[in-house]
Amino acid sequence: MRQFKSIAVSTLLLVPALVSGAAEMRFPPPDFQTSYKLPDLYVPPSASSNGMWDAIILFLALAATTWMVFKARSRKGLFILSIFSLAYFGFYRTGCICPVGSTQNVMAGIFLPDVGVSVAVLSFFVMPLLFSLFFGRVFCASVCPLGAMQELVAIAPIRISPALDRTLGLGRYIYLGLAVLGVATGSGFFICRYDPFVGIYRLGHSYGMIMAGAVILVLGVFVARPYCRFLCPYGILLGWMSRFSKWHLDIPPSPCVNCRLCENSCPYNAIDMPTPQHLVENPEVGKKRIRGLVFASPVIIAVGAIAGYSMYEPLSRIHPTVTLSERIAAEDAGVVTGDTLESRTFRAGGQTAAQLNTEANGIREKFKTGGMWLGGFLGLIISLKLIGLSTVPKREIYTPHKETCFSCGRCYPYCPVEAVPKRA
Amino acid sequence: MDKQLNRHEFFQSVARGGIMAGLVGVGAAALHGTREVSECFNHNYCSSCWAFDGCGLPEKVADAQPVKAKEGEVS
Repeated sequence: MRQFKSIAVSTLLLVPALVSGAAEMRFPPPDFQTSYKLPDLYVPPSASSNGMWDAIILFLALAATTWMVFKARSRKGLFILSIFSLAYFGFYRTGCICPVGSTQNVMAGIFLPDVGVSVAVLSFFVMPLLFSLFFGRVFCASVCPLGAMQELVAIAPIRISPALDRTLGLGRYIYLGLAVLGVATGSGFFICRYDPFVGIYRLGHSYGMIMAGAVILVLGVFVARPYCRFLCPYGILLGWMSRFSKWHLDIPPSPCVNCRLCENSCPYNAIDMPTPQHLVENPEVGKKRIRGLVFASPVIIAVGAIAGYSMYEPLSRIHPTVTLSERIAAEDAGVVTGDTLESRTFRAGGQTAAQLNTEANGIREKFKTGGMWLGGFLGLIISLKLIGLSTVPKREIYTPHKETCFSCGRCYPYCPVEAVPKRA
Repeated sequence: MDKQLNRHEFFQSVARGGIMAGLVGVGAAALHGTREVSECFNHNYCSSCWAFDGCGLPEKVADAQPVKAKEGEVS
C-alpha cells in the first residue's frame, strides 16, 4: 500500500512536466521571416531574490539534518526534511541556485580573470562542504533537492555489485573534470545545462532533458540515487570532505552484534562488512603493493595527461565557437549541404570566416592545456583508486563507508541494537 | 580533559585543518573579482533556456556584442 502511494505521488509529480515538455514540441517557436520583432521577454522577479535568505535556510536545513542524523537518529525525520528540501530548493526556488551548480560559479571565479561570485553563491558552495568535513554527507541525506527527489522514488531498490558500483562511479570524475574544463574555457555551465531534474522543478524544458529526468527517476526506483552515485560532480567533493569528517553516522548506538541487517538495508553499498578471515593478509604484502603503485602513479598521471592533450580537438567541440567554425568551414568546402540557424546568423553578421577560425584556434589552444589537466586529474584518480584497492583494511564490525555513505538513515530501523531502547 | 589523539585521528585533524585553509583560499580567489559570471556566460534567463546553445537569433548576436566590447575594454 505504501509503495503504491509512493508510485502514485511520483507519477503525479512527473506527469505535468512530461505533458508540458510534449506540448512544447508540438508548437515549436515560429521562425519569422518578416520584420516582426519579438516582444521583450518579461521575467517576473523571483519570490525571494535575496540569496542570503536562501543561504540562511540552507544552513538551517543542514543543522536540522545533522540533528536528525546524530541526535534524533530518525529516518522518518530525514524523510520529512527531504520533502521540505524538494519543495523549497527544488520546486519553489526552481533548483537554482543549488550547491551542485554553484561549483561552476566558484570555478569561474577562480579561472576567469576579474570574475567574482557573490557571498551568497560562495556560501552555497562552502556550507555543505564544511558540514561534510565535520558530520559526513548530511547535505546528501535530505538537503539536496536532487538527492531528495531520488530518495523519494527509491521504492524497491536493489543492490548492484560493488565492482559495478565503483566502475560506474568513475563517471562522476569525468563529469566533474569536463564541467571545470567547460567553465575554464568559457564553453558553458554543463552541470546546469544537463541537470536532469531542473525541467521537472520548472515544469518545462527540452523534451530530451525531461525524458532524461524521467528515465533517471524510473531507474531510481530500482537503482537508488543513480545521479548521486554515478554522475553528481559535487558528490565527489562532499565524499572527500566526509572521508576526514570528525563525526559520522554510526549504525548501532552501542556495540554491533554483526547481524548483517544494516548491510542488507543499504542500497548504496555504503556499509563495509567485517573483514573475512580468508582476506586478512600480512601487512607487509599490502605495503609492498602500495609502494609499487605509488611509484607507478606518476606514470599513470603522465599517460593521462598525454591522452588528454592529444584529445584537445574533439574536446574543443564542446565550445560553441569551435563547432560553428567547423560548420562554416565544412559549408564553404562543400562537405555538407544546406545551412543551420547558427551558420545563417553568422553569415548575416559582419565577422569573416577567417576571423572566426582564428578565434576557434585560440580556443583550441586553451583546450590543449585544459585537456592535459583533465587527463592528469583522471590519471590521479585512477592511481588513488588502485592504491585504495591494494590493501585490505581490518574491520571487526559493520561500518558505514565515510566517503560513499549518504547519511540517509535507512539502516537505523533495521538495527536491532538501535531498536532496543525504543522498545524499552 | 581532552583524550589523547591516536595517529589516525591526528592525521585526520591535520587534514581537516588543511582542507579548511584550502576552502578559505578558494573562497578568497572566487570572491576577489569584480565582474559578474553572467558577463562571461550570459547566465541569465537566456542561458537557462533549453534552446540557448542553438539560438542564432540576431537579437542574441546583438546582445553578445556589448559583452565582447566590454571584455575588450577590460583587457
